[in-house]
Amino acid sequence: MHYISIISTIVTLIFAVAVFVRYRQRGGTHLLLWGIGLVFYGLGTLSEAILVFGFHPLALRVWYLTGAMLTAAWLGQGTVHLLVRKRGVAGTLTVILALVSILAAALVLTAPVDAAASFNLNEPVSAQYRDIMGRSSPVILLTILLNIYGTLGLVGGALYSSFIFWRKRVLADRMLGNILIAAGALMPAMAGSMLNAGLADWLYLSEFVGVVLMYVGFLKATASRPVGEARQVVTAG
Amino acid sequence: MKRESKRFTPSRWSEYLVPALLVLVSIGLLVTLAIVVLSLAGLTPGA
Repeated sequence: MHYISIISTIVTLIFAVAVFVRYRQRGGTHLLLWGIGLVFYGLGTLSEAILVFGFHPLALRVWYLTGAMLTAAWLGQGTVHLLVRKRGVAGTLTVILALVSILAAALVLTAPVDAAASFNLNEPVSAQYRDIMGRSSPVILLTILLNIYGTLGLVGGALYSSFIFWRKRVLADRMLGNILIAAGALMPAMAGSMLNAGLADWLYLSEFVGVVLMYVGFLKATASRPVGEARQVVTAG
Repeated sequence: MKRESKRFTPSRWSEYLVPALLVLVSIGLLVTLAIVVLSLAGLTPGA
């Protein structure tokens, strides 16, 4: 089952390219931030894929830093940029997130990894990382805070947009696209929370289903529409 | 040139499905946050 991370990586890469292409064509900080978030998503699943074939401390650290700490926060920050119109707020939050991310990177890249611990290639890294990597209290706290912020931003923002479209009965494609994005983003967020809480481990499957749903949602939300309406309504895309 | 309308009329099934999906994902979001809070409070196996 943990080979699914290879497919997730490929889908995420395609998705990230699509977002960056759209950013290049249209601009928009939210697209840039979503692209960065997807690069982190892809690095997380790529690390999982690498760890299927053999253990390397750096792969474990990159997996934790990108997959567990940064992905949700940066994706959520994209949505914050899209929805928060008050001047300077989103930009300030992005600077704070960048600084916190640098701190997180410093903490995770210097965290102790017990190389002597027997890493089982037949088990997903999500089931073993606690025994191998030492997580300090600041790392655990940052992981929780970044994920709460990112999940509220991404899932909450997409839900909010969908609700607005539904209530106004406008832009059906964007409404549906945002529902799919919200559902897709919720999958790894919920799986990560359950994993962190020591409950069920369905992280790899959730990452695959999540990125597929978000990609389909993105395509739906950004489907061609009448010229001139792009700036009229607050939405993903 | 006449501009294409942005408005849509929900079909009979989407009249119920869309609100149901919105509620379902909202519940999922709340459950996720609840798990995080329980985890922080030390009330989960992995805490």
